Amino acid sequence: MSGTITVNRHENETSISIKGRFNFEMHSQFRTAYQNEIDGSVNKNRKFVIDLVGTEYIDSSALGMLLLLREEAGANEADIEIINARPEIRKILETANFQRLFKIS
Amino acid sequence: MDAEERQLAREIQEQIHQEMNMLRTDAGQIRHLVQDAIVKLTGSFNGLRDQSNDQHALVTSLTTSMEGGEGGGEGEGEAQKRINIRQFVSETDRILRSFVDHILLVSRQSMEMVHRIDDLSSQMNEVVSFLHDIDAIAEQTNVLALNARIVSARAGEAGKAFAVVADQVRKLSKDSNQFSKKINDVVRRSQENIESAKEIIEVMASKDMSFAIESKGRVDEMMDEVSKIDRFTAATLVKVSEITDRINQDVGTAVMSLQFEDMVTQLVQSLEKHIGLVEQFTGVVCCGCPDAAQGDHAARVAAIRQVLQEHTAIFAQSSHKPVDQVSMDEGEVELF
Repeated sequence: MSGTITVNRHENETSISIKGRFNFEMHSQFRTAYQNEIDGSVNKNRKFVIDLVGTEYIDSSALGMLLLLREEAGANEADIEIINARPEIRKILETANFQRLFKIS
Repeated sequence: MDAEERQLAREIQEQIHQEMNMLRTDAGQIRHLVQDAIVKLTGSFNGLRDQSNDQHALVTSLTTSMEGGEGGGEGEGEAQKRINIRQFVSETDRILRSFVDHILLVSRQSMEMVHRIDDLSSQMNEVVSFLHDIDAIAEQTNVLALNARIVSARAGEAGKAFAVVADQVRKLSKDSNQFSKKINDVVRRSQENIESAKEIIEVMASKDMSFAIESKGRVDEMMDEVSKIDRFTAATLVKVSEITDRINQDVGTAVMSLQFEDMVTQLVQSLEKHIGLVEQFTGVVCCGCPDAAQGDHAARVAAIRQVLQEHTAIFAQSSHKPVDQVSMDEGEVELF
């Protein structure tokens, strides 16, 4: 049983909301959610918001996907914000030192 | 003075002499006892001071090594490189961190690999759809060949050669169909392989992160505990150091107080001197002055008075106390 992904595209911002379990099975859904925006490379300054409000579980493959998104969205120039993570997930993000790579709020 | 008197005086003098000798012996014994005791006390106090200094040095080195650990001081020479608990815990933290980093790297690369494999899989699907196109062309060719065969049959003898060509074309169309089936089969097996590769990658990429959280929590707890122990140890060491200082001060005071040997010696010397004076004085008084021995009563009294006056004068000269102090707390005494 895996989660579901909802994508909301605004002018300069893509919001990806993940519900349920964020694990390996989500990889193609997650990739599809951002791939077009990056491949188009029209919006270099596009901001990504990863909304984890409904995320119940996260494992290392999900962290790997987030790192890959960051790299494909321009590495250090990427503007990615992770929002609404529940405490236990926030703890995982902090243990992985994500606060140095992403905005976490 | 008659012989009997002289005999009595000699006996009295003898008695006084014996008692004075006893006093002298006692005084000498006092001096020796005090000197012995002082030597031993000085030795033992000096030993105490040395040991307390050693203790102080130990405490200082302990404090220094603790402070060295706090700074995590590197390159301070081999002696400073002793590993303490704090360093051990922070090293554990570092290893845990690099372990987590390693897992993240593996996961990220695995996901990238999965993306590439997904791309490969969709390209395979494109191949399959091209094969469908080829199949359609083969089917059309087959129909065309069939039509050509019918037309050639109508043409009779003239169409015979054409019928052979039509059969050949039909065979080619069937061959093409078979190849297409074989390619389709290979693609299907490749897709199966791709799926099993993805399963392997899934296992590699998916690690539950709760172990890292728990380990991190434990390391943080240990760090807190070590800090508490360090603070307690530091405070205790400060107290021990203060006690050592006080011991040193007390030993100093004790050693200073041992100066009383000097005073006792001087007092005993004065005692011995006065014993001599008393002996001399009684000798003269009892035996009478040799000059006045033959004289009459008045002359003897005059001679004895003369001796008393001389003695009083000597006593007055030497009567000042050799040691003025009554207690050890008075006055400044130099350490020896």
